[in-house]
Amino acid sequence: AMSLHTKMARLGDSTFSTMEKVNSELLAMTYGALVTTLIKDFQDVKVVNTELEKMGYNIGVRLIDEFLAKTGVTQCRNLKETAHSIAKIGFKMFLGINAEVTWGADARQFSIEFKGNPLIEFVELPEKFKNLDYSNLLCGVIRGALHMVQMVVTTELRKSELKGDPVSEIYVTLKQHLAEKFKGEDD
Amino acid sequence: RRFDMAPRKVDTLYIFARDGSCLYLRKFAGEMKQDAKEVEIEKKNMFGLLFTLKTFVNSITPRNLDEQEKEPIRYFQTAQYQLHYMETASGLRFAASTPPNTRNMQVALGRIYRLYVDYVLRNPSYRVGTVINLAGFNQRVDAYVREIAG
Repeated sequence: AMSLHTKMARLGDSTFSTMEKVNSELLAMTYGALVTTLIKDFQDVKVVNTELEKMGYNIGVRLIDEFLAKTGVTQCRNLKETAHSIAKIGFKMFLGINAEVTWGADARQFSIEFKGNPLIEFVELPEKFKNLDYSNLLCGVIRGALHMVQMVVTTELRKSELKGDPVSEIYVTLKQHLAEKFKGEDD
Repeated sequence: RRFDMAPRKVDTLYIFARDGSCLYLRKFAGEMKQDAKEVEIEKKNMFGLLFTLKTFVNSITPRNLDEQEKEPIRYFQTAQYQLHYMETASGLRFAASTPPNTRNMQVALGRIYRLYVDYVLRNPSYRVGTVINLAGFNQRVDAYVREIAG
């Protein structure tokens, strides 16, 4: 019997093969232009980090449906499955890279580790931008996507290949599950 | 693609958002209710029923559900019609009424979900969570409903 994680990896690969592709240099350059514009507009690296995260959030709230519709994943039964879905299926189908899950300080925290992020191809961070979380968009995407499946999380770019780390790492902390409610429920 | 090609007649299609608002209501057979107020009541009742059914089903399930797990409802059926249901993890609810004993509607609802992703969500002029009023989506839903009607 195939383990769930193997099944997920296979689903990630097969879904990736059905996705429309774009030239990775074009993607990297477009993203780079976006970050450069934000730096010019806001000057403050902390603000740029926040703006990237916000953009990512707005992408994530739409991307979740693309994920669900194309993979056929109906639900994740627990946080472990959620984490592995992001790493094995999500990262593979949208970025074409393999990501790993490592578990965090407690049952409500985990890391997604990855290498070969297509967004950072050709990028070198100059010293004055050492506090720039260049890939912070991805943190926002995860937060937005999980919010649409009733999970409030915080995300943090803890490690970055751009800053000399061997891998990039996004740390995710589950804050709360949202309960089902709808307007007029108390009628 | 080899697939069960038995005709599936969709009479009505509903799409709801998580908060209960009806994003899409389309009748393929019979007439739309003329009275706008009646239509609003129909939408509200449909969502309320599906929501309550889901709550009920999850409360009496004999299975031990995992922390994020829910029992999915597939359909209910009367002598006159069958109401198929598919809820996405993102809270979108797709419901379609058909004549009784129509099979493979989960697949059809899944295909309509794909059409939503491709022709609604990806449209930058569409604000997520608002009523869907897009000619491209309407055309493709029409075409798909015609296709599966056999």
